[in-house]
Amino acid sequence: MRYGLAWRALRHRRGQAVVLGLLAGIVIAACASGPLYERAVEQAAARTTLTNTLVSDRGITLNTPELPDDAAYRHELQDGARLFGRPQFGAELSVPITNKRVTYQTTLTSRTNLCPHLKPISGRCPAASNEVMLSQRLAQALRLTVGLQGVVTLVPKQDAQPDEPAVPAQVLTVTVVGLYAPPSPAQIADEYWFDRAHYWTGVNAPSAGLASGGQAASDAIFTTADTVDTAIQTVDTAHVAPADQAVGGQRFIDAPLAVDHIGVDDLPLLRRTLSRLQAEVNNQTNPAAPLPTPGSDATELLTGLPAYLDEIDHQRHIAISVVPLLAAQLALAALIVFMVATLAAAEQRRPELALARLRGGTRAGASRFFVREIGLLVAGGLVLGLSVAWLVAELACRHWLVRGVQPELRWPVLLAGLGSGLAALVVLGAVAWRTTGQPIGAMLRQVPPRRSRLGVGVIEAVIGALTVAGLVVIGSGSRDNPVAVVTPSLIGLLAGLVAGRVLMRLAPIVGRRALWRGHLDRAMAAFQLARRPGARLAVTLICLASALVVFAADAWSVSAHNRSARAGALTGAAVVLHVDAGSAKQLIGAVHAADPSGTYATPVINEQAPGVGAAVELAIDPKSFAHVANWGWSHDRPAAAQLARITPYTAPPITVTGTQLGLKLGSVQIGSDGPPDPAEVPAPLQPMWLRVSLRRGDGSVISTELGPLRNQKQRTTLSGFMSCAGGCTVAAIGLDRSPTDDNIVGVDASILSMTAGSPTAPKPVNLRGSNDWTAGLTPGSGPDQSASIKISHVGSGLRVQATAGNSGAVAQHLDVPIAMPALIVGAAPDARDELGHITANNVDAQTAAFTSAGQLPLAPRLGTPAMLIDVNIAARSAGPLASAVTVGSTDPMVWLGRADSARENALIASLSRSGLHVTGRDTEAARLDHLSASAPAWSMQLAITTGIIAALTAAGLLVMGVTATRRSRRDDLSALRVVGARRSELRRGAVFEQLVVVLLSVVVGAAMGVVGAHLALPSIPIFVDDQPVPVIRLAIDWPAVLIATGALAVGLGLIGVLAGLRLTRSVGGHQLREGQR
Amino acid sequence: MSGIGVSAHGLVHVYRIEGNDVVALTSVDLEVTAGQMLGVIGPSGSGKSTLLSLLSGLQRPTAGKLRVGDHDLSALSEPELTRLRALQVGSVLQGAPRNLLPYATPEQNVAFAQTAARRFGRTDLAGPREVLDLLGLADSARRRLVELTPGQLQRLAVAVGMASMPGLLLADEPTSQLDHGYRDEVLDAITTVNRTVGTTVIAVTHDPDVAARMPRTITIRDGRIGSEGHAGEQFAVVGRDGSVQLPPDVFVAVPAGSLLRVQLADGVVSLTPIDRGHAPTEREDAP
Repeated sequence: MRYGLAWRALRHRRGQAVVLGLLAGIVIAACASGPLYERAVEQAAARTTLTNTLVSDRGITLNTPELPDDAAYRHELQDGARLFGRPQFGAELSVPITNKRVTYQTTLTSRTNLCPHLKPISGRCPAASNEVMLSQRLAQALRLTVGLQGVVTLVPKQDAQPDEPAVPAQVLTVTVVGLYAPPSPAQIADEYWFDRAHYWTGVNAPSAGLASGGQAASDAIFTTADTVDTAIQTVDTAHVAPADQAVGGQRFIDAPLAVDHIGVDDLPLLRRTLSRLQAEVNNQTNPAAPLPTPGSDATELLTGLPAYLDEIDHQRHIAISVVPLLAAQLALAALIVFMVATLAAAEQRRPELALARLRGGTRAGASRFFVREIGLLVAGGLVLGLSVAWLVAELACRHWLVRGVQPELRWPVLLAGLGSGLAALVVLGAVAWRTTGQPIGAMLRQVPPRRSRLGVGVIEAVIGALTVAGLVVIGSGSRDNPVAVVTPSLIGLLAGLVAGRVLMRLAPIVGRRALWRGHLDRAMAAFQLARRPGARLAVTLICLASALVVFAADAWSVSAHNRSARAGALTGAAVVLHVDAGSAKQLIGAVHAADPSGTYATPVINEQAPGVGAAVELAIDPKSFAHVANWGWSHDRPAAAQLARITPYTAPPITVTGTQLGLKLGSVQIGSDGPPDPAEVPAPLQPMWLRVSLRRGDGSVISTELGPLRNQKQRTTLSGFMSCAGGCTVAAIGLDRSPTDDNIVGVDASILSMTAGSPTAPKPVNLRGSNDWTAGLTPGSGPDQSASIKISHVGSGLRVQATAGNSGAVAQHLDVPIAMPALIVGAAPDARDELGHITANNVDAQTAAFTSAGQLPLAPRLGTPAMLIDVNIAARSAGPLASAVTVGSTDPMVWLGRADSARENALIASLSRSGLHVTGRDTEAARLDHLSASAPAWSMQLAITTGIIAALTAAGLLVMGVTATRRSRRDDLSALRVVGARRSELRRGAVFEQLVVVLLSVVVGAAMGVVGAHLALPSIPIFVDDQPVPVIRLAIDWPAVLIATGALAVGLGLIGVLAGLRLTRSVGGHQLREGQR
Repeated sequence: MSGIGVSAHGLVHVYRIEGNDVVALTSVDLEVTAGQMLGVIGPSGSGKSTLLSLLSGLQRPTAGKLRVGDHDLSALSEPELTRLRALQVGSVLQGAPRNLLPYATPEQNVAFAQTAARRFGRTDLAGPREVLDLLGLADSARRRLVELTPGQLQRLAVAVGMASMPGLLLADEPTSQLDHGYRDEVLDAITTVNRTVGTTVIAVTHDPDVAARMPRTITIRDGRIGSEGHAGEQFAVVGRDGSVQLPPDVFVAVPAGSLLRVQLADGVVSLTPIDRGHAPTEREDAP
């Protein structure tokens, strides 16, 4: 009967019951969704981290001293074996294979379950000892086919004892039983092959290079395990070094991680397994340890898992710190709203509770009567809340997280759900106890008694104290304290309480003025606000909800902008195409041909010298780079003038073609001041040689010796051979001196003209003005304090006045600057040349000089430290890019300003016509996706849900406020109608009343949301890793704040208007009949 | 349970409203025997409802004695008052809907009102249907309240008051807002309860016709019992301080400030108005 009555009561006020049930559901959903979503984020972080790695990195390779088998594998991994997929056992040995005097270096390989993964195109898989299967192309190169035999040479490893006699090589005759076609890259990516792509290096492929033995490398040959094992034993015969130092052959277990079946609960076992294996390996390789025992004990563990497990732990920590921050605030807000809604419901049921006591019920009994009714809603809300939490988590998993991650109904979720349900019941009980504690006579009165002002003050004081405590905790830098976590909500709540009080104080004043001026509608709204306690509560709670919405909007937006900025800055441009350019000039020319405007594509070369901390350069075309590059934040983007600093004045190149170069000299005066030390006996002046440095098209510099320079007054012509049939540019004119001549020498020479061409038909070459020449550094001469050179005009030629101590002198042509200007990001490289210029690799990996042209906060794609140089300048002195492969990394790229597939395809076609092919492609969108697939980003997605639920809660509160007081308000309005108030005035008054509540609380709440975001955002991680650039900007995102505030004001305002209209819909004298109550 | 008696001696009740004391009842003496039906009449604000709320234990007297059955209400603790309301005193508030759970059927309303009595150990309670049958509502036990007539609603309010078959039923304006037909219906029901169960009934009313149907009435004016009616005849009641309130019709003829000559002769007390102008200026027996 009891619950039947409660059920009927709920049905009687079904609208209110729905709202209360929803609020209870929101409380429970907010609490349950925290652990539910946080767990899903953890799983997603683990799944993403492990999936986005190489199979071999996330799996383990165990090198073993003996041929492994399944029993050995189980012995090694123990219970951790269940975390891994099907292991493959194998062995490999690098050997030369010979047939008919043709030898290739290959890998003699065995691998379990080979045939299903490497089907022979002729013959069969090896089944017996010394049977092999070759790649078709190796077989062709060796002129072998199925049924023929080849010879594998087994060269024993020599130990470290030089006095021991060399062990002679042995041969192994193998029979070809099958030929295979090398698998495609997609097939090689199969988990089975465990990233052992080195099995297929090709045969005489250009990229194969040469193996150490001098033979061309080739595809692996596959055979049986015992064949490889025997070969390894043969090679190891004379080997006495520890087994882990073996380089010739390996017996191994490849165990791929069962990544689809790994959850965060498996990670501890995975760590334990790895630790145990590593400890075992350390024990095996420790010289102080006893000799390795026979069996399957691993000697080497190869895996990248520990680093990935650390990263997963880091992401889990982020999820644990961010998700509760949002969920706890939402739960707190929802619980407070639920409490207020319950208070309103209890107030409405006051006469019924009074009846319970009038009929002899105790206070506890009357309270139970109320708790039973609303408790049914909490029970329903528990089911609803858990379902909503599950649904939200399921949707989040599908749309935000990675595929395969499902919400998990674990005990923390149930505990959170039940705990929040219990909290709702406690709130319910407290509210009921408070209401039934009034005298029965007071409870029976129609007009609610006034509440104690002191009681409200206590609540405000408690909230104020908590807020101050939260601010102090935040100010102290500690963000783990729960009070700090909910501080944004507390700020909103406190501000709402204050705003509500201010409203109640001001409303009567405004009402009286409005009444005096004859504005009945405004007066009515003001007086209603002043007398209705619900209005103050509504202000408080809508303020709280608005604060949450704005906080969530700002946090989400700031996080998204930071991800976008980082994605843009780290990619460099919307699209980055990696190309196989042979030279910088080719790259520049091709890009210019493809996009003459320079607004869509720009050539970029990333040069990275080898070694940790070596200089990293980005060679750019400043003009087009300014259009295309993405610097992340707009304020990090340098002005065009700043970028232009890396483009110094350069002279037009002086091009010479032919085999002979000549210089026509005017007067030449050579004088000596003797040795630097006047006490020394002056040595005879030795001859000086005139030399012209020429730069070839491939960037290499050649010198043409023109002959000795002597004192003369007559004109004379010096000439020499040059190898410039294809054209060279004049790099410098120099005077070479004997290394033994340390006299201080002064030279004053006039170069009247230059000729180039064939000996029989020299053509004049314009040396241009003296401004195109400058003093250069004599290579290898070292610092010479007394050296100086001055170049000036003389007719159409040059006059060179030089003084040199122990070095020569060089006049360098300025088509290439002495040192290329570079914009420095971060610390400049330490290496300097004699002139103090920065030395680093040019784009061709050859050392070049650079000088600082200013500082930048970051370099697109590279971050910091880095140098930006002009690719056009760099290209003038650079050789082929391919030569840089072995001494660093050179990455020629084409950056595109927009992701436009049609235009991109056209550009790729144009590049192809210029001989460039795209070898790789990065996009800002892909980088953004990658950054978004991380625990911080996923955690911040919850902010959206928080904002939406907070807004819905505020809307529910408005509706609840109207439904709970509708009857009494309707009677009041009806009374006004009876005494002559116009219906339109009543309508406007009711609408004004709602709008004032909505607008005031939304504005105050939004301001508090901004404050909360400012305080809380520093404690919210946005990225998994910490990178210095682009800097994380936590400034308030005002557009997001304004949009959220506007949307909230419009949405809630609309509900307020509808609520006001509904209040006045059936107002009239007929409502005042007592029997209708 | 049979009816229980009520007695009040020197009953005083003072409200304190916004710092001011308002005397609601002063020096009320009243004896109601068990099983009696008493109508309490008087103008608004005279103290009728205050008397009912004191009798039902909702308020405590400021001074004087008030007994319900064997209980001195001024001496009972709050739990004892609760027990009294559960077992011995039934109340019918003014306006039938205020007595009822709007969403419950008549049967459920009665059952709800019996809850406390059952919790206090009353196992002999009549079932809700029996209670409804007593008030002539057995056929409406499971109907919705909106389907009941005003008379039925009021009878249901009485039924709820009688749910635990108390010894005392306090009814505040049980026939207000009812037309004559429904009024008689409700009065008949109350009379039936009184006769059948023996419950003492004290009903507050404004309606002279209702009062006329009560075997005994008291009229409260200005917090005092001014008169008492028996079988349609009104009698003045002499207060413990010797004061007597004039009946309203007499009071019209003899306004406040009038001089009355009180004479006792042959057991007859006579009150004779005297014109102030003709009032003797010196003692008639003076020499």
